[in-house]
Amino acid sequence: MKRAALVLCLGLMGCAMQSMDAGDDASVGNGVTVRAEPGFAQIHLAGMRYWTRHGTGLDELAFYTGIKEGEPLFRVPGRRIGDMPVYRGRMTPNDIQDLVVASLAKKKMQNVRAGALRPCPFGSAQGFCFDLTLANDEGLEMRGRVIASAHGGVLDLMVFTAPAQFYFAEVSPAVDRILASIQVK
Amino acid sequence: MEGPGLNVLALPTGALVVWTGALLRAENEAQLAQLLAHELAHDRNKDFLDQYHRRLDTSGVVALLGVAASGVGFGFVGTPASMAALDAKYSHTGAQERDADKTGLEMAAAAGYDPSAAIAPWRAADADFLKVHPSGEERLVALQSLAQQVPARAWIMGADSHRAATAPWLERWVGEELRRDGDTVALFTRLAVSGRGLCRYGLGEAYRKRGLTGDAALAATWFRAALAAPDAPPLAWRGLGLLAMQNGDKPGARAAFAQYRVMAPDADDKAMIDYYLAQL
Repeated sequence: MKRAALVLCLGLMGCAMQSMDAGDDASVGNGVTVRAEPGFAQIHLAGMRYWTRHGTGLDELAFYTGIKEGEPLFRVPGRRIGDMPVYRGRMTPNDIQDLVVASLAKKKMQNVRAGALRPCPFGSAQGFCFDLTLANDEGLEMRGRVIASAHGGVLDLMVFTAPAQFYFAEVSPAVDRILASIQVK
Repeated sequence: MEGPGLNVLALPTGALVVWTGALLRAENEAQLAQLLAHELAHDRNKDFLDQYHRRLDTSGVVALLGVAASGVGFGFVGTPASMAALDAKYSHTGAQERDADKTGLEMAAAAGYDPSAAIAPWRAADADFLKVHPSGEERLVALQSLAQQVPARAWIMGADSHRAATAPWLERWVGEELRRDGDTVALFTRLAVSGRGLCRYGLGEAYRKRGLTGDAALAATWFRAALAAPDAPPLAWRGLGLLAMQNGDKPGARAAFAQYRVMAPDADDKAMIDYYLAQL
């Protein structure tokens, strides 16, 4: 029922949703694949790819892959692309952390804070990750986790966000397994 | 309200919303007092309600009512974006701004704050703030004239007290500004004049992040200036390390990161810095 409502809602919004079979490897762009977990749906919205269990706006695992020099991490509907901060190949992980914060702020996320920047495996590649606290435009407190890898001037990024109350803890274990399944070709 | 940028907003409920970016930009108590007094003058003159009455037929009324309701009696007044949007939507007329300039300056002066301090905040204002608070040379001249008309007395500037009161928050506010999208060199060029280590670090980091030709040398200069300040921030070592790493100077990066780890053993990004050190 919940999934049917989500499909109807997304259909009305003009975006595409695909169900996924748990255990299948799914391509998320730029030669990166991750393994699907039970209960997730994949949504293509405004040219971007999200996985969600309860619906975007609640839990949301966003895949921003293949970002090149001078490109924004993502597009925000209604905002000119020139208004978005852009990735630079010379950015360090510290800078990319700041870039994510600045980009989320353009998405009307409030009080975005990042912390615990640390190295993390990104499939067989070396990556880094950090944690987020933020609030949506209605003040709902949220938490997040980001994993990224930058090689050869190209950035791959995955951003998980969910309300701090209930949803983050409920979905996190599955998201952790998805992120642990990253493979880079 | 925690957020970068210079903004202050008086709500019809009597709540006065001050962005932390305004606290960072004020050089002393007198400048802050003049800024707050200007907004209080809008409240005293009921300018916000005037805007409300003139826009009763717009959809913005719904947003106004929501914010007004949430602001009654409590500190919470809305999200920074909603407040900024509301401020932009309900911008005051030129006449209201001129009245608020005069009334505010007189209110702050009556409380003992130097009237000449009314000018600096407008000179330092961001483009976003100026969209709703139009400035320009004419206004600055008018403010100067008003300030000169106030009988002289021993004025409060409150530079030391402002510096002491803001010190615990400075690192956080500087970080907020540096994470803003856009060129922060102009802001930190002004703030670095204070000689505060974190403001000098901010200027170094603004140059490092901008990365134009010649910026690397300027960044290094300001990181070193930050480390020469009495309140030298460990972050300046991190800035030097990141800069050296970006420039392929491995020994320089190693030395700077090692200093950062010594000076900030519990730094939030220590795991990443240790990784950099292991790779260099």
